[in-house]
Amino acid sequence: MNLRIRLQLKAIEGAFLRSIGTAERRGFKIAEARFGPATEGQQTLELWLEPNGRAVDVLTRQLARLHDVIQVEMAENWVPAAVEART
Amino acid sequence: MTVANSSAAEQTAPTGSMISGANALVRVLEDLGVETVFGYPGGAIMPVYDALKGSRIRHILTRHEQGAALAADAWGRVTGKAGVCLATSGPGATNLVTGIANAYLDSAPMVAITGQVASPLMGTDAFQEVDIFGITMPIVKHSFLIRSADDIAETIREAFAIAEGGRPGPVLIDLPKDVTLQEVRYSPVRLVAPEVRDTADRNAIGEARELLEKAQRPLFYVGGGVAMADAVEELRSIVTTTGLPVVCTLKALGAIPTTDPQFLGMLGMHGSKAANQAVHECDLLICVGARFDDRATGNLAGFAPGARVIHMDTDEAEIGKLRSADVGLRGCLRTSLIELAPRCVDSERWFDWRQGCLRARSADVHRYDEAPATSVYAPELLSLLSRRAGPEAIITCDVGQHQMWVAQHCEMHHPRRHLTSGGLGTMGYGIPAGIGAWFASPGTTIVTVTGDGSIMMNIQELATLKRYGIGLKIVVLDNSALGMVRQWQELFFDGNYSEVDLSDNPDFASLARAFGIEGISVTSRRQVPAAIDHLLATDGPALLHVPIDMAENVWPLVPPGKANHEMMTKEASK
Repeated sequence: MNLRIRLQLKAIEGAFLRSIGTAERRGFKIAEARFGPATEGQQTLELWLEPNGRAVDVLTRQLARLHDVIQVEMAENWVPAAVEART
Repeated sequence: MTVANSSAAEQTAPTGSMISGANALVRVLEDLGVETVFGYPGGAIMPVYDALKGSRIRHILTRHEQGAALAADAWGRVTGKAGVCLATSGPGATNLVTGIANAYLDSAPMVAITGQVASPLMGTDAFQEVDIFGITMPIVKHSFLIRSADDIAETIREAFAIAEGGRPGPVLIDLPKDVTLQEVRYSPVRLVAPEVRDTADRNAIGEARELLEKAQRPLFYVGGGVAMADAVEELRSIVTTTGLPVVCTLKALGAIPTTDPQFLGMLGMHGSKAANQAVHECDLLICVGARFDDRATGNLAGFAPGARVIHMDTDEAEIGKLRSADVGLRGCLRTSLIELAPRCVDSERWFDWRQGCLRARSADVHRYDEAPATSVYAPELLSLLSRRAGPEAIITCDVGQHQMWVAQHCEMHHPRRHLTSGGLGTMGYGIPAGIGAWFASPGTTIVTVTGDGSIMMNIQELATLKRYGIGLKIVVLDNSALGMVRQWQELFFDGNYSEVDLSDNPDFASLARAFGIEGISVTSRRQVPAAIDHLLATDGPALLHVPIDMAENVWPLVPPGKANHEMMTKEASK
């Protein structure tokens, strides 16, 4: 079952790439990503990650320490957005 | 917004007047108290160099941008303030990359400023254009690409706050040339002290105290974060109060004086037997500002197998990353250490454990009298060097066998006095780090220990020593080989030596003299004391070339994939 992480980011250059890069470099395969529009200086990014045996709460803390990141939310047992859309 | 030619005269322009972006950059650096920057000019950064000419900031011209970045890294480690390096776009920027990564892996505060091609050319594969913002993204704490001169002052201020705050690290600022030429109204800025979470979690502190009270064999495992957090006094206090033994990582050496009886040595791959054995036997590991790095832990599954863990760290992302913690104390290390310290300790408490550790340490003393009869024995030389240089001296080193010998055999009494590339393992760090340390700590004896492989990585910085009269004392331990790789090929690749022969090295003493630096050599063991005294007494930079036996290995050694207590010793290898 994939993990879903929702990030609230500052709408600044590099915020998406930095967040996605962090998740991938820490060993998580991104099954799906969904980008939200920038409004009032903020934007959202949702990632569906395939579990890799590493603690996902550590990843959320690694994401939270990025200066582009305003907030990180994690929810386990979420299905990929593509599946949600089909059902 | 208009475009103006940069002028050094603008430096004196009154507050609120229009100045160029380049001058705004220099002004904000001055306002933030920056005294020294390390760098190398080039096309895209020229307006900044034009502005620097009229500034009170001292610019140190290194002979390669990597030297500038590594010097800035060392400046940051010594002062706790962000070291600053400058480079132009393209190759200038990419040459900074190793230094930036070095700072990132070792949590050194740094602000790296790169020139960029003009905004209209960005994305066109212009001359000397690379996406340094993208290239460095995984190795910086944060990065900025400034699109308007109006943003320069605030961005620079924020960059310093990020670099120095919390767990320190490098911040990159990419600055397109046209932005440095734009006119902007400048107002002074001041550095806002970074927010520090200085209250420990009460519940977690209570749980940690309970673990400590119940433990039979507690052990402090100290990392470089202690010095970075200025928590050395608090660490020493709790160590003294409890009387408990301490092991340190490579980066933490000096947090507890290496001569202190409670200090069991460095742990890990080339750690002491006493330290690794204590880690294996402890039932409570109190990890302070360390990160369970693989060089420290060996096979993680076999690391402190019977221990519960209290993990204190400024960076909460480190807690539980590799080893789950029974109690995690996030935030200010000073506060956590103060809160954890018992009010009073029964002197009988942990007596047997402490005595056992003390005996193990005593039995683990290195035997210099087992050295070769006539040839120079590097461990013995380094032990003598550190004692002659004195407790206040700063020792920088490169990477390889000599780096481990420095860690094992040099006395270290204070934090921020042993500058070593721990995380990235950057050959070529030693001399640039010595340059950074020289400017960061005027009047201090600075010694660089390097190897014949490492010194060639940044040999050009000898010219920087000459130019600025930097009194760096360099010791080159020359075994005519890439010694650590050779050692591993001997032990783990059946002696199949592949590309480690450096027997065609230059004459290093002559090479030093070619740069205008005093260069001397020793060839026998009995010459060493006088040569060290001569080196340290030399006015200005000097280099001591020391041929050593290629077959001499670093011991003990934890083989790859093994737990720390399964270390190989010199005796067992015979």
